[in-house]
Amino acid sequence: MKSKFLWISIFMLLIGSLVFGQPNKDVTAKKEANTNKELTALWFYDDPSELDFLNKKIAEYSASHPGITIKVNTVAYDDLFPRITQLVAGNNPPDIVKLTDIRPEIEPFILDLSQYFGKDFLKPFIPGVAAALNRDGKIMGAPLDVTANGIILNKSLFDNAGIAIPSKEKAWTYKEFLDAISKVKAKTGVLYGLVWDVTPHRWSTYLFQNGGSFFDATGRKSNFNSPAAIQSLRGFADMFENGYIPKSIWIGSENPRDIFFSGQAVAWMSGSWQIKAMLEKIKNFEWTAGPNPYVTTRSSVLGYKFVSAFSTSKYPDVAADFIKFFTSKENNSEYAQSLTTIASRTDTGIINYGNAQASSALNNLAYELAISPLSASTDIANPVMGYIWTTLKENVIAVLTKTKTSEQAAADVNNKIEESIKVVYGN
Amino acid sequence: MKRKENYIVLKYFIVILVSITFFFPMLWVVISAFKGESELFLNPPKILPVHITFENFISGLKFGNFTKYFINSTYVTIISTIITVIISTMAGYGFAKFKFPGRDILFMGIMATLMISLEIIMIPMFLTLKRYGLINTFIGIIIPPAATPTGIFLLRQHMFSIPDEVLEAAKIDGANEYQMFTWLIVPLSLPAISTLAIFSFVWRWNDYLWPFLVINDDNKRTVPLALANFVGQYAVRWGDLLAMTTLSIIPTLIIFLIFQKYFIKGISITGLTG
Amino acid sequence: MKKRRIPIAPYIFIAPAILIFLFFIFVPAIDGFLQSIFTRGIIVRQDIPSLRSKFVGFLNYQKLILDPRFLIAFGKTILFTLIAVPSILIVSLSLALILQEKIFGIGVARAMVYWPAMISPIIIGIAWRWILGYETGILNYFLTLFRLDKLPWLIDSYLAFISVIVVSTWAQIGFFMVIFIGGLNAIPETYYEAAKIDGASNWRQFLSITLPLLKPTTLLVFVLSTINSFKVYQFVVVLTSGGPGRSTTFLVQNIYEEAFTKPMSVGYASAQSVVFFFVMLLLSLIQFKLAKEESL
Repeated sequence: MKSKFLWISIFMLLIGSLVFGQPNKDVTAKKEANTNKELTALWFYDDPSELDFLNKKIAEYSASHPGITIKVNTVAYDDLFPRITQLVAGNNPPDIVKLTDIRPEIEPFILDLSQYFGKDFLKPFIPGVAAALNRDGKIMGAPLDVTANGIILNKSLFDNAGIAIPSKEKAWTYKEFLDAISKVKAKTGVLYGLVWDVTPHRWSTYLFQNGGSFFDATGRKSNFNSPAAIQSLRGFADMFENGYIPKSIWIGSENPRDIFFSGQAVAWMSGSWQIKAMLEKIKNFEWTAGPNPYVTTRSSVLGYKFVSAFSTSKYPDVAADFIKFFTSKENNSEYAQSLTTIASRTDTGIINYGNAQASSALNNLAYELAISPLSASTDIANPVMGYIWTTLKENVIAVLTKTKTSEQAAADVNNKIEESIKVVYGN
Repeated sequence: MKRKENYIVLKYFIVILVSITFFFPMLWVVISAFKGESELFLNPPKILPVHITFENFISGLKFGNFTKYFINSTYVTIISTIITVIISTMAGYGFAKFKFPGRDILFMGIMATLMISLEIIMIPMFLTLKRYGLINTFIGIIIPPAATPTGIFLLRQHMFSIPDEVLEAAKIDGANEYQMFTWLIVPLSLPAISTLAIFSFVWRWNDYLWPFLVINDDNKRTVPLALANFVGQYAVRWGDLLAMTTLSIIPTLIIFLIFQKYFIKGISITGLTG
Repeated sequence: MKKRRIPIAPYIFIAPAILIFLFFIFVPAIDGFLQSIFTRGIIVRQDIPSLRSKFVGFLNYQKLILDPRFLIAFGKTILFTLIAVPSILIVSLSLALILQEKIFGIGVARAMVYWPAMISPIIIGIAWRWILGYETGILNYFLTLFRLDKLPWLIDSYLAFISVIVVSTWAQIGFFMVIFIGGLNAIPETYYEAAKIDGASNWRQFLSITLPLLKPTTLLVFVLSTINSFKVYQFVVVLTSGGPGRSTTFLVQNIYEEAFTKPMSVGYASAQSVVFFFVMLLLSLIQFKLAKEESL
């Protein structure tokens, strides 16, 4: 009998700690008043200050809308899509979510904001993004901020070497640019000339700078098997061959950002979203952004993030309203300013980022974006892109490692684009 | 005599070399955690930090709200370990000391689950947990992983080495199976139990996929999940990541140092020649 | 006293474990395997045309027999296992023997070797990615100290594959070493003493006493390390992301990507999972069979 007693007490202790001993449970309001509406938002971020900003705005909103609370759950960017699909599959989707694209599995569940705010809701936003979020009249979300791909330069190195950076009006061809970098590298003894972010999105800047594009003007036919595309694949590989870009970056796992931040690279092809971190972390040298070099065409590439609501929400009107609040002119401008990114609205006016280096860099990149061909925005916004990024990256690397010729790679990507167009747009 | 001395030096040399090879990587992570952002990517790298700084630790703890996650991880790990030990000891006893129909098939079935990797049944697993209402609950990450085939195997192996005569003697004295279990088997199995406890602690502390599947709520997150947040869309926050990684190694290190005597001894006694 | 033909007690003792396995492993596994006869995405809603699931019988299995991505990942997993398992066996046994010397501090050495087994695979991937960096990694730094060239550990396909094997071995050796130590300790000293009296050399003792008596332990290590190697995923993905290209993309990663990055591909991924499971099962059964025959 003693043993029974022992086991029963162990059992009760366990059950007790399982049921009552849980740490960090939600502090839910005791009064379950009917007017208490709780929503959840799923968010990812690079910089923790974004979370602070979000919570601040939520507090403001709750203050002016009593009874409404919004709980924020965060997720790492790489886990965003698995997490969303899990939640939707489990009938437990969030009410509000920050996204970078809308995958077909999710699309049926996204709330159409035009039902609440009319068809012109996206008018004040940058045209490229507005087009991206408008699917046959349905408005899938409100843009948060935009990013522009561009070249970031270690200004101190240029100054030390006595080489000038051209003005944003004049800019430089790739030949002039690579020459200049080599001279700077030789004169200052720094390790690398050019480092390039390892994503197909960043690579595509080079495609547009060669006058190429992914789709034709209708967005329903591939334009990738063209001399421009083949040339961009080959030219990119050449930059590695000729020692301008180190192989450890695209082929290995070394990170261009880390290399540039430690002052060991002259130039870095990345984009406007890095400016904030550069302000915080780079103390040993001066930097600037732009002008982008070009082969035939001056171009940057548009990136964007947006916030959407799920139609499965218990309070879709609240979700939609919060989205409108969060992306209002004042808040969008404050968002851009606190995150040091480019605002997604066109009516915010010139934003003072409080720092000359940052302001000039961001404004240069915004300029590059403004003079880019329209395809650099609309192509990227085309839903087909979601299907081809991986194939594109694999093929770029294949040309770098010489496992494919640029012609083969271009043909392969072209096929994938055509295939995906059928999947997205039906036959 | 000279020969013996030579060998001693050689032995020490090999042992030290081996130890360093195994220890250095994590040591490197810990050293790097104390370097400021500008020192992390020097080329060529410097081994020791020029300026020892705690900035990574401060920013990592702030960013992540890590104390909360440590508490969660501790809670989940300890309770899950207790459950693991209890059910594995029970099952080990059942499989080792009894004959009953289905014994071998059930045991083989349990061992076969070693070959099912969680990644490949993630989606049905999630839906199953959802059906049981365990999503976003601590129970959901405590109970399912508590059944480990390795644990049952370990205890069963150990039980084989407990002589049947001891059990016979107890039976003659009038003890039933449950009393034998509590007062005889368990005390005799302490080495194997502590071994399993250590393994289980480490496994649960380091679990990533289970908490990822189950927990959506930031408040209930565990440490490995929180580490993943340092990998952003554009860049890895290496400084913070290294610092928090260093911190998250500490509990397993402590448990290991405290129990390693028992556990290395424990494995020896399990008589794996059974 | 009625003698019960079937005792209840054992069932009670194994019940908690069996129940958990049943509800939390068996049920989802069957579910998962059933998914393989459909074409479906992660989210299934029969009322939304783009999210419907479709019954396709064995179509997914026919597909995977011809799918180069699957076959290559499969091949790489097998190659990885073929190299990793003997390495683990040899190194962990050697270390178990070496670290048995009764010299001062040997416990510390054993602890240091075992240490990596306590660290989560994600952290292992992070740490080694940091160490194997081409320009800024500490390993290449050591090479340059010895006037050697830096090696592109994670950049070159072959070197990346080797790196994965080395890191995987490093991480698991401690665990298997301890198992071997247990097996070694269970061999009675008397055998060795008798052999010494007969004048047998250390090497002879090893061959005639140690190895044969270690067979069960060796089998255990063999089976477990094979299963571990076949299932490898987490630390590889953190270390190389499966790259460069797809040179270190193994089966589990392939399955995961198939399910989560391609639309409507969950059924296909499940088919791959089923094949994966049965291959491992087959391998383990073969290993046990071989061991049984050997001991006859």
